[in-house]
Amino acid sequence: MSLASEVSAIRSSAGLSRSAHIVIVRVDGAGALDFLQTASTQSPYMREGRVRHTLLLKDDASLLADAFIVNIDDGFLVIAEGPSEAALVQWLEQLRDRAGAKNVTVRGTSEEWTTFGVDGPYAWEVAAAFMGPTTLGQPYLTLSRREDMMCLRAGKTGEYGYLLMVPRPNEKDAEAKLHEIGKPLDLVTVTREALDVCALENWHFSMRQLRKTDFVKTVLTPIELQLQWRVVYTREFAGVEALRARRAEGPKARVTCFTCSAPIAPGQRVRLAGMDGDIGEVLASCDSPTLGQTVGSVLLDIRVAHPHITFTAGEHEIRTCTASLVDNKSLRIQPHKHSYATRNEVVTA
Amino acid sequence: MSVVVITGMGAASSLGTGLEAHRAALWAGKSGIRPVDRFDTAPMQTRLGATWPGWDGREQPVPSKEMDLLESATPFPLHELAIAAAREAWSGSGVSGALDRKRVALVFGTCFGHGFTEFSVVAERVAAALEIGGACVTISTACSSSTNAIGLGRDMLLRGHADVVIAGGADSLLREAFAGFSALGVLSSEPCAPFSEPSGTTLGEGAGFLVLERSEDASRRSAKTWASIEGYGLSSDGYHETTPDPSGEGVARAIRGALADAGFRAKDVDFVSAHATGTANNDRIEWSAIEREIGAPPVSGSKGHLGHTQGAAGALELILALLCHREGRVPPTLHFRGAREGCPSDPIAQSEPREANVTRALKLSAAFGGANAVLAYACGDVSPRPPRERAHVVVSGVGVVGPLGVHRLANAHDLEDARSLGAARDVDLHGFGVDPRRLDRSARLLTAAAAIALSKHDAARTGLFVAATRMPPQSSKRCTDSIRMRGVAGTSASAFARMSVNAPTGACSQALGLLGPTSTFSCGAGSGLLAWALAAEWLAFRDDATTILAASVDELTGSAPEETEGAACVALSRASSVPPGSVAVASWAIAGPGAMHEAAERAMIGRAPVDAEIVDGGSSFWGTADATRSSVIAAVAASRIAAGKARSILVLAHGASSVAVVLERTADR
Amino acid sequence: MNALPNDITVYLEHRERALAEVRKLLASIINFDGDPNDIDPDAGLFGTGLGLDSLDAVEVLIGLEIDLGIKLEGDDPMKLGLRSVNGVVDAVMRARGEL
Repeated sequence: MSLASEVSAIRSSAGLSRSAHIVIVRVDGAGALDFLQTASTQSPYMREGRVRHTLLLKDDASLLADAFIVNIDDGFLVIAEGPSEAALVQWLEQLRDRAGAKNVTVRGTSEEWTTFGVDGPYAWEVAAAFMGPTTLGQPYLTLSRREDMMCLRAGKTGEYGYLLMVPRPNEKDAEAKLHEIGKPLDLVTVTREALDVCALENWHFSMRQLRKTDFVKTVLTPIELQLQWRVVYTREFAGVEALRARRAEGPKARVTCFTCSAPIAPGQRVRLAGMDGDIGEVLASCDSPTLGQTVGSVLLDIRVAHPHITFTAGEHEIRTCTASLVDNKSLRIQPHKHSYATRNEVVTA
Repeated sequence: MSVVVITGMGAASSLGTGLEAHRAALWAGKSGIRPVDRFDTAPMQTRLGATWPGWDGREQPVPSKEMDLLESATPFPLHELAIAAAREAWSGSGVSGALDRKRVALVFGTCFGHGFTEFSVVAERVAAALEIGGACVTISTACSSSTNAIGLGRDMLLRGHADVVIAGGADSLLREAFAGFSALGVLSSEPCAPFSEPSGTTLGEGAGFLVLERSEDASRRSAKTWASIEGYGLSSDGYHETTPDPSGEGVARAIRGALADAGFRAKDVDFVSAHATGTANNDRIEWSAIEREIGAPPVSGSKGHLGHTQGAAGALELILALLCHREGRVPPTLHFRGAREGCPSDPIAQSEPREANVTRALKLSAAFGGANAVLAYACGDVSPRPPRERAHVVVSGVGVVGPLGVHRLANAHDLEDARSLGAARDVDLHGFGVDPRRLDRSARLLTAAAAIALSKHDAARTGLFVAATRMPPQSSKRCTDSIRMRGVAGTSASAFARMSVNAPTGACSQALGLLGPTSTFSCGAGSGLLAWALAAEWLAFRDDATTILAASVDELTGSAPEETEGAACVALSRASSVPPGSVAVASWAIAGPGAMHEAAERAMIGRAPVDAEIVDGGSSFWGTADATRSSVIAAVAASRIAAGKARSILVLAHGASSVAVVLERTADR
Repeated sequence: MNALPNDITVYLEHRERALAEVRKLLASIINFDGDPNDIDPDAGLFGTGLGLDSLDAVEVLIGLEIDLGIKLEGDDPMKLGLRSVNGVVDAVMRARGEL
């Protein structure tokens, strides 16, 4: 199936993906909460089943991982994108040893769990058929369980999104069941690339949008990346000192969203008419089938990091914009009221 | 084992004043819903309401800079409505004039009090008008207030805190409440149609009261009884300020609690009077819980008759049901034109009451903000539940938040050495894994104190009883400011949702996952100690919770001299055997205002003399703070005992009720 | 850094001003503890980002009117395209004729 068709499926029905790029690590033991407080930019929830969308930072305040942390069964799950499982476990163990949290155990779970992603305006219908009807009311950023399965409602495409975690021995049965459920719902198997396109065109951050750049001489922190909403500056966590220092200096650049009628390569420098020198650099870009143009993120001099400004990028022009441009079907669909079968009766305002 | 019976009932609502008027309306299939004319409803979602004819012709003036909400509510004094109903219940009961009036208690449920400002003092006025002098407790848990009140009234009789209890609730219909519910989008353009179309509710007002006595006292004077209150259950959804938990588990927990308390089997329930507000969310979720826990019993909703009478709803709807049961019937649901999705196909959909025998039944209330209360009652003889083993109650944690920062069980006694006055110091909630965003000041203080007191807990079996005497000032101001500046049509829905006495309770329950028995109440000064007593009592005689947090909060108002802002919380846990070296809540008693001596005597029956007696007489170390001061004093006492400075302490407080609590150190191994 | 061309300096001044006002308004609606300047301009309002819910949505409209004197027609922020902080800033600047 073409990338454009996969993206279209995610935007109109639902896409099923294998989430091998997502690592799940268990953190247990007395003091696990206190320890994770020092690892995460936001404090993990005390309340069971509530999921915190957070960041794990290196000591220089650059990003190690885009993570969810959830309290279950007297312990926590760290569900992360960015590092490999081994790298994440090692980082957590080092941090634990630094913090002297002797009774905390860190354990990768790739042997135990396999995860499936379901994303799309009717993803909830798939998830509810798989997990049970209480999934219909499951709030965003919560984890629910049924027997030995778990369902995390998160989503990074602007549509409903669920991570279904299944014990490894049940992998084949689960996959078969999902395909079965998905038949009347036009559930399509999609690749990670398709999910990344959906994320970028909807201005949803993903670790894979990061790249090395020398437009700024320093690392990119949550400040430049517009992820401060996941940071609480008054807390003490790995990387906070470097982050506070960056904040005190004042950042020199910020990423923002742009569109272009032609393809633009990441790394392309941009300029402003009437000014010498580069004023920014494209970090990530993709051809958006949904919007019919190129969409991406550009790192700009902080003074001009605002929407509705035109820049030249090589031979082309790019224009910054207010995200998100996508009119997500999910905004008009409510699990209790609608269904895929009657989707054409949905009135779009 | 005693059973508690209903010997008198009184009602005032849009259906009229008096039981006769209500019975006549039921048999005529009459609804009290009609256009509201006491304020302009043009900017609202609907013109319909269910107002008391006793107030016809009165108008509510528009509050302004010169006239606050309390003044604007003057034409609708809540106590007038309540007294009308309470007097009828009292005279109908035939309770003897020779009875010691100091042993007649009042438990009063209300959402908004008088003009959103006066709560406990309204109950005191009603008690004065009835010339009773026993314990006086006001319950504010939104729409489940009077259901909770009736249950608490039963407990007070069984534990000997009173000999007669008048229990129920009242609420008036004011413009600001109407506007708030309109802003939330829950009002129907047509008369409320529970379980049917169109969805939405109709706001109403009214008062309903029951006279409760122990059965042996009622038999002694051959009093006629309407029914017996066999038990009740409480729970919290812990989900959202205005949306119920979609799984229905919150309501289901309260149903299970009531069945267990009463010793009813689910299949023996002959009838359920549902909350059934008519909103899409409530009805479906409530019915799913009823089906799951009980099967599909005969069920009906009375809000088509009465409108949603807010704090009076539980009492008034129970009264309608009992009027029917006495004549071998069950109340119907009005305005039904086919079931909404997820709703029962026949909720006794007809205009007059239907013939049906009812022996065991439930009254269900599922409040906005998630405080659920379910009463289990019986008409006719049912085998009484055997008396329960009384469990031990111990202090498992303490949290005090105030001007001097944070104190725990180990160091709370340090508070005695200094004066805590003024604003509380900020507490970093992030450290407790709580997201402080969207929590107003009262919610933050309360949640901080509770988080400090709480250790790892089982959500469904941990409850929260909060003593709170007023609406959170910060949120109230925001809501009234938004009304003032943008007019009533511009009422801020989120500020309105936070503008209730039990909003901080709901926020705390949500933040920490406290889903067990939950309540919010006041007796004016001394409320904090009342929370200790009621939480201990619940744990001692029931086993649906292992821990209850007894908490209190006072947010700075800036209007009283020498105020202290803060919150105090004790985590009380139930234990079947005495844990060595802990602080136990050994005994307690509740009595009327000015009866501290009597409460102390009762609490001390059969006990060795205590090492110390601490009276909350306007303590020197904690300033003016009606809800918290007495609980801080008790926390300090517990801390003293834990530190080995005393073996046992009697703590006393008084306001609209007098409360005595004995704390003592259990033997070391 | 080089000086910016004249034709966008006015726009940027207006934008920075409106952004500061919107940050302050949103901070008060969600009882935000931190410095309003830390609110990312492209942060989402509902769900991801600032995590406002349906109750807060109405407060945004009320706040725009009361605090900023800007009345938007309609009562559903979603329908009005107010999905991020910058979306609200756009609405403010449009109402002021600055966009």
